[in-house]
Amino acid sequence: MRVESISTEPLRELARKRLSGKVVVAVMSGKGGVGKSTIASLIAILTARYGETTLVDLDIHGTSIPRAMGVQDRMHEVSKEGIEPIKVLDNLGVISIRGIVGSKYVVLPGEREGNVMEALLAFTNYGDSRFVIIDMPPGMSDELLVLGRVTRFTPIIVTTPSKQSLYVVEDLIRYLIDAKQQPRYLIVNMSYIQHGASIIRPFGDVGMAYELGKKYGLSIIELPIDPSLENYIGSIINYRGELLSKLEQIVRAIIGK
Amino acid sequence: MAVHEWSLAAAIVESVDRWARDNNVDSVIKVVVEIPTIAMIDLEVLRDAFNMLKQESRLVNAELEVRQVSPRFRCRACGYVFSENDVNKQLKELMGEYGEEYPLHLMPDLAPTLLKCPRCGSHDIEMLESQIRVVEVVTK
Repeated sequence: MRVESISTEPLRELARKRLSGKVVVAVMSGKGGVGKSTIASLIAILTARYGETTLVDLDIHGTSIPRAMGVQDRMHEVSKEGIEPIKVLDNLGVISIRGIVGSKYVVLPGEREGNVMEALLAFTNYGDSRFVIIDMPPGMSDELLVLGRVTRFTPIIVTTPSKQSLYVVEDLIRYLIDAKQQPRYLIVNMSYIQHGASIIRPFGDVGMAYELGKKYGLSIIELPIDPSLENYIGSIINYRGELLSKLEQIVRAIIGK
Repeated sequence: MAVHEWSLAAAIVESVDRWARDNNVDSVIKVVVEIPTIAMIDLEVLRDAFNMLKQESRLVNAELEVRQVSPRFRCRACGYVFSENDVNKQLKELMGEYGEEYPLHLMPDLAPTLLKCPRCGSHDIEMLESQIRVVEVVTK
């Protein structure tokens, strides 16, 4: 008989096991306010057409997914299999810290953040989900490290055409390449607005985004500003507008259709 | 009914089984874990779940020993060092507010946002022993 002091990582191993074999897509940006949560929601709605999907809101300090989906007042149920996603479609469930703390704000010292994110990833019951879409917090912090520890993922990077956003996003791209998580897509959100027959570019041209795409081998997807989208906050599953059709090409490429 | 304990048991089994595979250990006969008291874990349910989930692993012959650890807190704003006892009233209120699946049961790391320093009211709380940890195994 041997007694050994060991130190294992129970939550990390559970997260690894529960996420293994799933297609994990992480929607991220170095910048805040570029539309990550909206795009993550729409991508999840699209993947749900092809297979069961869990949308995880990893933005623990600024949850947006529950409001986009209109489930901000629902609490998660817990079963023997874990924290149960809140169903918003037959094939789509949502996980968020909001379903655990309710309307209470989440302000945490840095050393706690990663643990809470890891717990969220570990304790979720993904069930038979084929796709796990992750709405990442803004910035470049623990979330990148935590996710990288537990799973491989397809990064989808979101920016606006503004140089302020693109400069930060370039750091994120370089980090991901160093971490051997080569991003394939750069979504340039709010690139233009269609006004009758003419196209207006409120942030000017998107040339710098294309330069970044060329430099780092990313496909560029320009998304318009769709003012009607605001009417779907709370019922985004009913949105049928242009953003959805534009994102379809990414979703088809990821799932190989 | 307490059910989150099943996920904790799965996490323990998974991580120790991985450790055993990595270290060429065929049979683990005891696992010692530390669990923060504020998580209010039902130890009986945890043990039952562990005994069910260990069957397909190198822990099949293992018993589970649980040490409950009371977290220690320190407020970074005012320096006050305090214990669970000092925030008992706050913990009770939280349990009343949220019911059985209260957030610290699922994620004890959320303590700083849900508790306040009993002296100055700050959320800037440092916490030791915040997570479930496997600390010791006995092998054949």
